[in-house]
Amino acid sequence: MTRYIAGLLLMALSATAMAQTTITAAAPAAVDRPIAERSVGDWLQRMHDASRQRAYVGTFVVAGGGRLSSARIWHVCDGTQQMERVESLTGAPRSTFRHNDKVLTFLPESRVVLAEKRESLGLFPQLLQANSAAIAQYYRVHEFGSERVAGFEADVLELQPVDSLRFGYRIWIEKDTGLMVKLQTLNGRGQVLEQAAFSDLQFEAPVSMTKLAQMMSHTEGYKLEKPEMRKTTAEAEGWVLKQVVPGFQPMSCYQRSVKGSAQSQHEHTLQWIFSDGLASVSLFIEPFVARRHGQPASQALGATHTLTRRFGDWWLTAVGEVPTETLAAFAQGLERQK
Amino acid sequence: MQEAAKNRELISALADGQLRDEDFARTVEWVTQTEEARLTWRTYHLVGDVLRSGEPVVSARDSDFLQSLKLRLQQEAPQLRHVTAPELIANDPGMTGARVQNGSKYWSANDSRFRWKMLAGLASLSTVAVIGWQIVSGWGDLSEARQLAQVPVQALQPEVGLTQPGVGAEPQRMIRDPQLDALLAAHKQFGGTSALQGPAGFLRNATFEGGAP
Repeated sequence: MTRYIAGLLLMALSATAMAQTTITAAAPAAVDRPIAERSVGDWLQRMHDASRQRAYVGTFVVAGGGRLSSARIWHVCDGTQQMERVESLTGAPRSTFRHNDKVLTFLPESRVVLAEKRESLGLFPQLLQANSAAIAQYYRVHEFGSERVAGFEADVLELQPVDSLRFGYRIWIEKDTGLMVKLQTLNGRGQVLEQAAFSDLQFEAPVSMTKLAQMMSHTEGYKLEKPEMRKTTAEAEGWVLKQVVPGFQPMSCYQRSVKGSAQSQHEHTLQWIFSDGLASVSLFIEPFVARRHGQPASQALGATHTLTRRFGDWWLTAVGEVPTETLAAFAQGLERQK
Repeated sequence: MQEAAKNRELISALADGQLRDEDFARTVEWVTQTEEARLTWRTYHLVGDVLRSGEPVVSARDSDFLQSLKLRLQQEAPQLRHVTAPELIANDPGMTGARVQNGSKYWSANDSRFRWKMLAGLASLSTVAVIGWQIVSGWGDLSEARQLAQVPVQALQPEVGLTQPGVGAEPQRMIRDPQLDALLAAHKQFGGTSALQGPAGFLRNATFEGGAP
């Protein structure tokens, strides 16, 4: 028993040591994979095409952080227009409608409808082309044969990170359509942090685009809320990332209103967004308010990690589907210029 | 001593249906002829029963032993959460690939099948005098762990951790702070900067309650 525990301790210690070494020496390793396999870009393109060309109805289940959430999904596409309806089956009632990059979330309990524009969804194809080279540099793709998910045969592949600054992904892609039917986010030890999958799925289902559009336009009796956003640059706001985190490119930067900091509508939060092509990190920077901001801390919910830290008169909240160490690297590299 | 441990290992393999030919014949003979071997054989199955159902069918004279075993199991179980099975496995990110080549497809370190095995492993330690499994020397090896997981692991294989991914990982604490929730929601709005979180990621974010607007 003693030997056993000693072994465990040794293992845990070496794990910590290993994590530290990889962070400091986070240079990407060379990518070597069998030529016969499809590239990361090929797979991503295939997945993307699937959502553009198919209609389906299904139940989607997301499990992570000790929670299990599920929703009913209706998806329809006529080649150019994409519409989607997501009806939550767990937690507070919530209906989300998406028409291309326009997203409306109906919250019947508070009679509020949130209107957002998901810029990136519209930009997706271009984004994909720009990103796939970067993705290939930081992730290796491995194909693992096939498995059945929600009654469909799916190709299984794993995107393994080359360093410890990002998580790995195991993806199940339906063989005929290319639709991603299951996704696992894995930490460096191969543990599943979060899993999303269709539990049932029906292709070529009769989903009416007109009907979805009608449902989406029924906003009477609801209060419409839109996040106030202004595009800016980190530099203009007086922030710089002195030490770049390998693989993560700045994507965009906004001054925005954030629900919850409602008392003072004038206060805005800076959101600086980074991505390595698969994982994204948001740095939220706002003025430090002692009664609102507590002690620096880090938390995890499924694959999403957060880290808070004080920078003099400012308060940083880093959020991303990345290890806490990566968020810490961002916090370390961040500097006030003004 | 070593001989005794080896014999017990043979009984373990016998119950797992892993023995063939001469080994099989010799072990069966040994089990039928010696009282010690019979005891080991019976205890071996009893441990399996307790782990599987918690309420095995046992004769009255075994009940004392059963009670103490269950008590020990209860004591061991909380420790198991801290130990976390995955730490027993090498923490090489490439490990998942290696496992596939070993023939055990897609099992993550923290999948519940493996947790079950670890429970079996720790339970065996609590009754180490009874069954001398080679956990100390072999715990780093998944295939060895499979051998430890006596009896019908096959019947218990669930889909990879669908119900509780991340169990055994670092504790998942997320204080429900509305301010943080709002920031999480704001982050998700731009989750699309990631290729995986394009259309499919939108579904994930719309479905997932954590930090929902």
